[in-house]
Amino acid sequence: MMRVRINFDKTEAMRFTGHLDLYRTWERTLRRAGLPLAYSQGFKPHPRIQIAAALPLGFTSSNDLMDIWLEDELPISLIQSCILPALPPGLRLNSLTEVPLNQPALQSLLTASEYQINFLEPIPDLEQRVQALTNQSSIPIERRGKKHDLRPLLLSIEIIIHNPEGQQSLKTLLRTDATLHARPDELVNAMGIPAEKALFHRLRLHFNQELT
Amino acid sequence: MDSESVFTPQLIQKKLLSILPTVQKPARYSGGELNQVVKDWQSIAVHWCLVFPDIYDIGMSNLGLAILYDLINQRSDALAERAFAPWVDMETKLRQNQLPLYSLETKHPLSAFDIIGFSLPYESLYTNVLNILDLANLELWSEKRAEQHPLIIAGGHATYNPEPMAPFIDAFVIGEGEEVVQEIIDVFKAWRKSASSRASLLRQLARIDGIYIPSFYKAHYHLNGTFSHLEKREESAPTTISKRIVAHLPPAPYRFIVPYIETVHERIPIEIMRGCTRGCRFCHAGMVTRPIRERSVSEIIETIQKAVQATGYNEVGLLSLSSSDYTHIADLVKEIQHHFSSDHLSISLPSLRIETFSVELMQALGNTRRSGFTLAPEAATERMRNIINKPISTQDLLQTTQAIFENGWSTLKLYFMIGHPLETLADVQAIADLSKEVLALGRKIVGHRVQIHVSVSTFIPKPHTPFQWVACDSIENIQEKINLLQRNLRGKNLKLTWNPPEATFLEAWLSRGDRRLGEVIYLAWKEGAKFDAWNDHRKMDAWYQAFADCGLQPEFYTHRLRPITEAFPWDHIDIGVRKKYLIQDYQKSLQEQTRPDCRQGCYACGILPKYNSLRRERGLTWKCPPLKIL
Repeated sequence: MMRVRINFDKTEAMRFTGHLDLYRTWERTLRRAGLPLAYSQGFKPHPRIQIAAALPLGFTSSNDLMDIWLEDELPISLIQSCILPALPPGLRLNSLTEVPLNQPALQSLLTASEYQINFLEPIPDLEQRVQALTNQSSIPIERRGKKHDLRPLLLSIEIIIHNPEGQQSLKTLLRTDATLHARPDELVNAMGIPAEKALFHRLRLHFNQELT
Repeated sequence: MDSESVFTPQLIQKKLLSILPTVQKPARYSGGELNQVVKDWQSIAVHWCLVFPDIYDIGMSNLGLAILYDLINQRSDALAERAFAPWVDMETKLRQNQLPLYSLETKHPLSAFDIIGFSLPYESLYTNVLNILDLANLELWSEKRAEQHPLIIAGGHATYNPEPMAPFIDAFVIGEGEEVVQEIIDVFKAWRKSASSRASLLRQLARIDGIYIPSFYKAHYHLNGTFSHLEKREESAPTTISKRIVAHLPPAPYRFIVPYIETVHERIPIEIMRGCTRGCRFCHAGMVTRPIRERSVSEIIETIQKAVQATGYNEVGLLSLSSSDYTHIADLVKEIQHHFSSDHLSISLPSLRIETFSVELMQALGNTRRSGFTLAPEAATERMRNIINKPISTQDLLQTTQAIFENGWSTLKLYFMIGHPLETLADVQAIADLSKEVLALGRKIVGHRVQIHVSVSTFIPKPHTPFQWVACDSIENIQEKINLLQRNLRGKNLKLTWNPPEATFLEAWLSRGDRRLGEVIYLAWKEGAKFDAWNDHRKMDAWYQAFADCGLQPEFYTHRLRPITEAFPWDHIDIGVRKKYLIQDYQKSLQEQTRPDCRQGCYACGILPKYNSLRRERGLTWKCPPLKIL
């Protein structure tokens, strides 16, 4: 048995694939790759795949992480050469590493998520809106009928202007752990901007220890 | 408005960025899946858009679409892209933004294609075809379209009676599409080089076997409203249009597009056999898909291997109208066990005969007990079984269900059909009694875990079947029969489902309709009818209003017993089975006589002589035995 950590990007072609469907897409990709996947026990065995953090439908990502378990020990280079030709258009493989079988699950080590928010049209008063948001002592939102406060989860936010077109982006770091998380589209909504005026991209995940 | 030049793929793509996040399941509209084929638009001569007129989730599971997509894209001079009916939320967004419906692959508006081919496996898709043409900014009526517009084609099982959709479709493909699509592309290419009129394109298409150009004919009716005859408006047009068949099943496709989102069937579909010899009298597919052609075991095994590698699916569906009749079924199952037993691959074999051997087959495939076992006795009394020509015995059924339970299955689904006009309440009571008997058997063997799911559909007389003369049961009778089942089939471990009778009527009047129904379909669509296959979307009022506005009666199409002498609006479509044979079989049904499986002896349905030359040329035999002198 071996455990392999895969660093990957979810790109434009899979923007509208939700978390569960991403899982199934990986399951099929690994099956096409012909790797000896380890299966869970039970009535309906599933290949053992753990994705570090769910990514909402409509988001792309880079440096996403997941762990997979294989029945046999194989050289990393061989695993990589099996996966590469099996990838669908929306997935890109960055790197693979073997990790100890006894390491805690990725989800449990997660602390924060870094996002880039690209606006599709100019937001003239973006600076004021960001200022106003960060000045607030609480950012109340409602998610599935429950009240949440985004303010303590907002760790940082900055404006980026892409020249020469002057396209505006935000870069933000949001706390993400087993109990709490904030979504960047909620943040944009809280600034009074409809979320469909922006594209969301998760740049990387932060963990509470250096991952191998 | 010149839609072609306004809506470039780039513009559509850009607009989608802000539209898609606001609709349900946006991946239905974004394309880009594994194994989709994207070709360089500019360098390809013929652009074909394949349209399944229901939502992506349903259309992507359609094997016919996958076959044609694969075949067209194999050509270097043609490309095939896909489009589906947008769900209502997306339709609203498209209309609000004045965006035309576009293809998933390259986001070209449908109007930019040379050919738009609609897949019409069932009648309740007709209003969606109109809606899609409208969303594509195309004229609905074929007579209003001109040279610069795409050629609108339709094919599929529903089009064996093309007449109701005749006003909207330029050319119908009658029968199997594998070879004829190639000929259409060739003719289209040559026509475009010649720079001649649309009428000349249609004339050239009409020369292809199996192509029906409805505008070349005018329908005439008797004073009593029944159909009289078709008058040719174009001399060169054929008097009858014979369905196309392929002598051999072409290599099975395996590079299926893998959707990123869940669709109705998440599996590799492999057609193991085409056609059926059982002759169930209600079964449209069984009549129109003759003769039997089978794939070899080795080809099936090889296709599974290639398809698993190309898609990563963990489920395979071996498709046919009657799996048990596949000549090498035992070998096939053995080979599957041999090759795939350790692969976490589940293989389904639907449409099994009611016999204990079927349980052995399922057992050998190692199918999960959770998925349940399905049997389709259709009728519960010997009399009804004889009438519909599905002669199974209750004893065989009980023995089979016993074997099912003894082998560990606890869920059993039973399919029955009600609504044949000769069916009495006693026949329906027998369905309830038989179901309860099966339940009691299940309780005895597997205990309280047993689940019997009784699924009841309502009989719809279909054209080209021995029941094409028969009237639909009245709504009162159907309701009474459903009520009887509801009263009798309730309680623990028992589930009853049935179709709404109105949905049945919609399908019934369209399936035996004539050309006048074109106007009805149009008006119903105008009044908001679409997604008629969806119980919560069907707008019956729109349909009734449309009938009234056209001065037509729905009952004329559904509830009228037709005399043997009546000419039918679909008589010019030749499925290879002679009308005389159907009449004979209809009369046999009235006498409660069966006609057993024709693998055991030929009853001269007509398919053999019809395709004799094809059979001789290709040097092969299909599974028709020599003619039996009765």
